[in-house]
Amino acid sequence: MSEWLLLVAILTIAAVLVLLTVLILVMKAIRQARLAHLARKRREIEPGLLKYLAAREGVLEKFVSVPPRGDTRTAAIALLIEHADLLKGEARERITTALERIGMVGEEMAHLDSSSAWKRAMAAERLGLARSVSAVDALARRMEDSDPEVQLRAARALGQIRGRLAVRPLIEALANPSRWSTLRVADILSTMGGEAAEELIRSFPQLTPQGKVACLDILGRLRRPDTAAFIQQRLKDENPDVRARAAHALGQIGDPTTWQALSEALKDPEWPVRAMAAKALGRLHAPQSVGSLAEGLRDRQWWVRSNAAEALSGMGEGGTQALIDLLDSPDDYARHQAVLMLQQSGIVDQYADRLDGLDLEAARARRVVGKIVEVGQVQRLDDLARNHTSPSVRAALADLLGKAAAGRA
Amino acid sequence: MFGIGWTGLAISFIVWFNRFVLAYFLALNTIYLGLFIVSLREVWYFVRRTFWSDYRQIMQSELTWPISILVPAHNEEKTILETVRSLQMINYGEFEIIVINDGSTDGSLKRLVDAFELRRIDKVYRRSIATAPVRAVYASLEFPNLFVVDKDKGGKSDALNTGINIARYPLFCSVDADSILEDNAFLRVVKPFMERPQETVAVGGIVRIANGCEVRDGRVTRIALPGRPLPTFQVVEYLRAFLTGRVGWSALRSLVIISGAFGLYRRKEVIEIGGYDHGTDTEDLELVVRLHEHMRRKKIPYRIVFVPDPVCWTEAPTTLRVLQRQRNRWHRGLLQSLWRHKRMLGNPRYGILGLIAMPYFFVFEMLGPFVEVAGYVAVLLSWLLGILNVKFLLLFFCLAVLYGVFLSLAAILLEEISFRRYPSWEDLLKLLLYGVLENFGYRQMLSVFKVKSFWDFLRRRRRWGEMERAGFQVHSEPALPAAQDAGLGGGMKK
Amino acid sequence: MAGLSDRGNRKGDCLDSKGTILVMDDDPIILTFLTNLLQDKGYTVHAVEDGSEGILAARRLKPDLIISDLIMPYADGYEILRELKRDPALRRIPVMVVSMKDKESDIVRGFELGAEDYVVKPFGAHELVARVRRLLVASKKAAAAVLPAPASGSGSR
Repeated sequence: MSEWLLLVAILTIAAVLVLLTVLILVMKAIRQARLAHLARKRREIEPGLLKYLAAREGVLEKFVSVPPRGDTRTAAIALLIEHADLLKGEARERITTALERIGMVGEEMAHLDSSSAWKRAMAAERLGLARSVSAVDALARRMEDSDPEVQLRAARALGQIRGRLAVRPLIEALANPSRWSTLRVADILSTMGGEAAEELIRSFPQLTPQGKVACLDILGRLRRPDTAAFIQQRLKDENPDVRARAAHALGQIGDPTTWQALSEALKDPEWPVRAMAAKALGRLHAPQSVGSLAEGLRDRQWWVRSNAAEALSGMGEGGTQALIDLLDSPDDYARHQAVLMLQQSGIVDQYADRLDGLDLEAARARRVVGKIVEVGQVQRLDDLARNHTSPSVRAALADLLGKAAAGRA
Repeated sequence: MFGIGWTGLAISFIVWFNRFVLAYFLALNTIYLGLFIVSLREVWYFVRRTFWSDYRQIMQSELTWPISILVPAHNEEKTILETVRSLQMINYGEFEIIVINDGSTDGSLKRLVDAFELRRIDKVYRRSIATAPVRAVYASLEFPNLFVVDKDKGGKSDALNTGINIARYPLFCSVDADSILEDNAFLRVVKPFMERPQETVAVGGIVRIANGCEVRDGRVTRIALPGRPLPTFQVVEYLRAFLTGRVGWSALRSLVIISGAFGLYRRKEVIEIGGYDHGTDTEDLELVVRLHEHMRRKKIPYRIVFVPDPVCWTEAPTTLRVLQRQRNRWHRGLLQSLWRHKRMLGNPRYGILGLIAMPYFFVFEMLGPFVEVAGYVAVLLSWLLGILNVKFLLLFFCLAVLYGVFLSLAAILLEEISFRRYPSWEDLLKLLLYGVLENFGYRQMLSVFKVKSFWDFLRRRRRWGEMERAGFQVHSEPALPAAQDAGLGGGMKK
Repeated sequence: MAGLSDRGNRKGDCLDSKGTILVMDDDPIILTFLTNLLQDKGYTVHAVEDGSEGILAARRLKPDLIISDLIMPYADGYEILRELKRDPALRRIPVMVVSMKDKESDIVRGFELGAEDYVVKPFGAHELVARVRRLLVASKKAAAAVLPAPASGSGSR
């Protein structure tokens, strides 16, 4: 092996390096040139396209002439897609019409049959942006694609297109047992508005138990008051999961007239249902439910008690009283929860304020504060004992806290 | 006679050693090349697979997991408010910010209480990991997702563990006061979790160098290369290390170094392994290695991946002294972790991590610097002894330097085809220049640093050992200049 | 985009345009779209990408309406709104927030800080124009009610 060979090797490597450098620079130059070119084309058609979008009528050709192929067309498509996120209503529909007329929709639909999974996924994505109803069938087929990415994109695209036709294949997917895709599909359906709700209610009986649960989740997220009656009925379903989800969904919809059904659900034999019912009642703020929630505070499952406590903290006087009664509970956690709830809703502060004085209210306040001190969570009271504006309140608090410390000693 | 014998021996030794060095560089650079090819594929796929609507979808979806953001703070009164404010504005759906005031002696806590209207609360939480005592937990009236924990000083690991205890969401990450996050940082690092929620245990995000960038209100508003040479070298180095190194390892399912970067972890598993460890200098590295070990031992399919899209910006050291301390700390941390987990070395039970990655770190990261430095010394000696073979020299030059230049350029190419954070021509040319120059001194200098770290590591291990034998309960990091310099955050203060 | 007109030209503006609108958004696409949309309807539009520049422009131009996104770099986006409503010179100018933030709490916050209208992105183009028109009419009425005599047109404030 001679040194010559080595020298040649070195020169070759050096040449490769130089080439690499040149490659990097050339790539950048090409890309920049292309971007500049596209930018130019875009500037040419932009005014016309924007006028088209803002107009109430008139086809695309009236405002701008877009050749059937080439960079102007590419720029036009890019511009239309960029505005897709910005607009809704008439202008948005005009975007879809324009994309159909330029042939972008047809082109992408053809790509849906490409052999490359990435191309198919990309096509599905773009069809979602285009929101053309004509693509619904093709996209529904892609939901059975072998590549999971393509499936997901197709489903999402249907979610963006919306409308009854797009909802159906998604609901069919809900009936698909795989738990993960059920969540995904539900996620998409929950953005699709009224038609989704109607179709879901229609197909409910045919769904699997998991599908039913997902369906109720979606209805809860859609928050349409007209679905409350249907969901309320589900509180009597034989599947406890379904009942629990129905209760949760009612909480999200927030229709106060459902309080009665939820109060009954608080007596359900299964604890997840009771827990969800308590949570939902917390969202409803219906004063008539205070009684049942107070009952819920004595439930044997702590989650139910916890949700009931939280619900009560938002229920005004009745709720507050129920929480104060809870301070006497033998259950450690229940007492802690009660104090936490009272603190969070500012009730503790209110009672502390009333401490100065000699009337009945003050006596009551002293009793309540005393109980809180006994529970042991005194940080807030400590703070108030030091920082409250009224010296007599501070003194009263210090007194109560001191007694407790002495009592423990 | 005798003299000639010894000289002869020395010469043959040097010649043999030279060959060994050649072989070392050939092996090292070939591994780098392999990693680069893997990374190239990964980055290419990543760029193509990321659809621009993805991040918005993640942000709006209710399926997206909420994140607990932990901010350990020790005497950060000057910057803590800014840090919290900039975190409050991140682009993300549901998250909570937990500031852990680790026994600060300055006004950090007071500033927080005043600025955010904090009130003490009685938060009920499970002390899953043992930590130094917590004095109080504060919540903000105005910002329901902000909490501040006041505790006795325990060091960064301890602070993080406390934060983990209090966090209520399934994912958590740690943010230093010095890091500047990108707007979509969290959306990007949570994406792998959303794609494979059962398997993903930790996700690392890439770190870029902020020197030279324009930063306003905790956001990087304009990206540019630093003006000084030292940080610019580091820019190229980071590109190489992250884009070609870590992405590659991530694809091989042996990503170990999330540290010096940004990591999002699953709370459950981190609690299972007992949280962050006190005994090392680079606690995230140690955490990740332990995660790997734990998951493999439990034989559960899992993945720890890297998101190549930049996520976090950090200030790089601008002076040699500070740089050396930083690298010293990093390398020592690596060695400590390697040593602790030496049972994974070559152990098929730990898959590619045990069979390839760990040996790689052992041979090339740990022993490698010695070989490199010795190699240069040997060349020098050969020249002095007059036995320097031109052939050898050329070969050495090729393998040690030119090959390195190739990899630096390759990293820049990768950056150009994917993220293009440095859009100007001027910056690109500068990058190319430094990419070449990097191999003519900077990399060699780093190896020298690593050699020194190794000695430090050996010395400290002896000291550690003594402390352990004396039954020393060590909660805080030892007060070495390096630790003080870097503050709790691990970032470099100017 | 329209050039910056001088304060002196207000009478001229009055004859030719239905009003001056200042649009602030860091997204150039929306900026261009709104500029074109409103200019077509006969308004004079000034577009600004930066929040701080926007405030300066507002002080200089005294537009009849400000359309603003909740933009960075201002601390939490709402800062711009606060600033506009805090400044006595600008307080009376109606502000329409156009933002992607669509949570109820965001919208409530916007109104609490003084926004006269809050439009969520994506928005309907014609709906936005209708709102602009109504805001300008309402604001003119309010200004007329404050001024003692209906002397010169929409000149001094």
